[in-house]
Amino acid sequence: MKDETARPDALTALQNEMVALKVALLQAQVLQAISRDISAARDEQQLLQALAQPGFDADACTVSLSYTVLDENGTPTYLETVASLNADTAQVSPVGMRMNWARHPLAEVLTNHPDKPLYIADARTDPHLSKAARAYLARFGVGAEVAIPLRHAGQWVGLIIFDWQTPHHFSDYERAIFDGISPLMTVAVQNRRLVDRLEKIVAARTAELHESQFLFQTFLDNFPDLAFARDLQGHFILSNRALEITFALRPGEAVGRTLHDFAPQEVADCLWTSQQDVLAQQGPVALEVTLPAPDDPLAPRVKYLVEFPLYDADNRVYAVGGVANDITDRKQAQAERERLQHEVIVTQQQALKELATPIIPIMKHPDGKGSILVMPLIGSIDALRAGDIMRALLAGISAHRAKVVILDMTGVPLVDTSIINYLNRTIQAARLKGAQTIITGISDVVAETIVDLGIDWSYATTLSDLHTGLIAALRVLGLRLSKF
Amino acid sequence: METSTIQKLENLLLVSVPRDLMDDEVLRLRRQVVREIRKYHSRWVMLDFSAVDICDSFFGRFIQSTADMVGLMGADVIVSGLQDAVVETMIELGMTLENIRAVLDLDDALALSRTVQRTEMYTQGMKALNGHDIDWDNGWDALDMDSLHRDTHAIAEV
Repeated sequence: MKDETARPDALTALQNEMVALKVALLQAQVLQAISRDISAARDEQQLLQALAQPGFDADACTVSLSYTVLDENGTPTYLETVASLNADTAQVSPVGMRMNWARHPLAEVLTNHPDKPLYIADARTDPHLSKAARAYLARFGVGAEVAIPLRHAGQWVGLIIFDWQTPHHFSDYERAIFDGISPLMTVAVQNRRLVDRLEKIVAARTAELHESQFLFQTFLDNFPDLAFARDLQGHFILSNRALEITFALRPGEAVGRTLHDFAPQEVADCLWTSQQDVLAQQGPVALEVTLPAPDDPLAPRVKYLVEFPLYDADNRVYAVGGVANDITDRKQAQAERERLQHEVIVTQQQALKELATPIIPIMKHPDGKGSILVMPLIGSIDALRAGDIMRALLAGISAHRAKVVILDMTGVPLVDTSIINYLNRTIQAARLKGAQTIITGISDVVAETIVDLGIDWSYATTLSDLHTGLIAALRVLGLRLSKF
Repeated sequence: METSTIQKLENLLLVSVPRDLMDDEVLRLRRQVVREIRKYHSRWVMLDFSAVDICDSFFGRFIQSTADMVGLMGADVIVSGLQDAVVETMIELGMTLENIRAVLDLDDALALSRTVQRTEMYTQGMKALNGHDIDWDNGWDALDMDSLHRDTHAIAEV
């Protein structure tokens, strides 16, 4: 009997235990499913949806997730609703709403019991609530509520609120799950908020980067000189508008291609060689390149190109940058200047030569049978000047059809063998052009020197002064000066 | 080389020396000149070099030797139209063409031949009249210093 009475007790106990175990298993399964879905969640809405699992009926209630905004002391100042579920009824706090923490109806209670979910089975009678809070909840038709505080390391992170329109009895099973949600969600929300913050920072940085890149590209594109960077295989990783215009490309078309794809063969080869030089020297290389002009293919532009290695974080060269400055005009100006300078020098030399070798045509035969030239020699005579004198004399003979040339040596203070030699050659050259030479103005010193040096000048017609020379020349032409 | 470079005009033989003559062509030209003189009994040989702008020593010797040969055959050579560059080279090479008359161009060459010829005729005539040579100043021989001084003093008086 005792056994019989004991047996149903034991059976009942066992049965109870089994039920409890089943419930615990179900709880565990629900929590596991929630945990699984939370970790797969991508945003706050999905976090909340993770709470709706079979065996845990969240359909009958409205669920909302709020983040707390803390001040510098770690005290909550605002509550911001970030997601809600089943929000078909009038909501206490719609998504996006910010609520002052101090004015929240549950703030006081939650502050006092921060580490456990707050269960309000019947909002009208619950002893936790102040009168104002009751009125507040009643106004939004809240019959029952569970507030799960999310706290991490003693700091407020957020708040999950389940609202029922009618009073609700919380079973142990439900309470166990609500209790279990708190740590799961806390970690997830904390991670979420961290990710959010990181994403915001990344977004801000990305925006800044984009802005600075845009700024950089705008500057580059409005830069009149060519600017570019190429990777080690020669593909453009950066180019500005000037470069694209030079090779008649559309904006952005150069990037990813090599010079061999769109530039003339010799230009591409030249720049490929210069890039190899940069890589070999591990330093900047400057050179002049000739590039085609987009508007006029017949007038290539000369560019002063500087290429330099670009280093990555590991201090390895990963690309070669380059800027090319148009120096065509400068070069042309320089060439022009040099040409002018040369012209001036040549003109001056010519003038000097003419000054040094003057040819004076003084008389012409009236019947055109030749003329008389006078060539005064002044100063010292060297090999170069002797050549000039001879050439000038020969040209003068041809130009004036001269029959007689008077070489006046009054201006030659001293002579030596080489000068006499030069004069001899000049006389013979003149003879080959059909002109006879008369030498005048030999000074006493010169005459002395000529005799002392043993030079035989007897074949040359030498007269004392220009006056006598002129009369002799007239006689050669068959003319004579006479009084009338 | 074409035969048209040598032309006969009365008692003149006009030789237009073409440019860019090879050495063997030079020799052939000389032989031809001599042959033509014999054929026409020319009194004058005019070597016109106005087409020649380059000269070497072989060419210079050609002028000298032609003049010598022509002289042996009783004719005179007048060289004309030597360009400045050719003259310079010849002087550099020491070829001064002594005893050869050189004039500026063919006009002068013709004028010279005419003058000399007239003089010769006149001299011969006077010789026949007077029985002795007269000292004729043809403008190319040495100057007569006496008459020069006379002229000079005449000017001084003015």
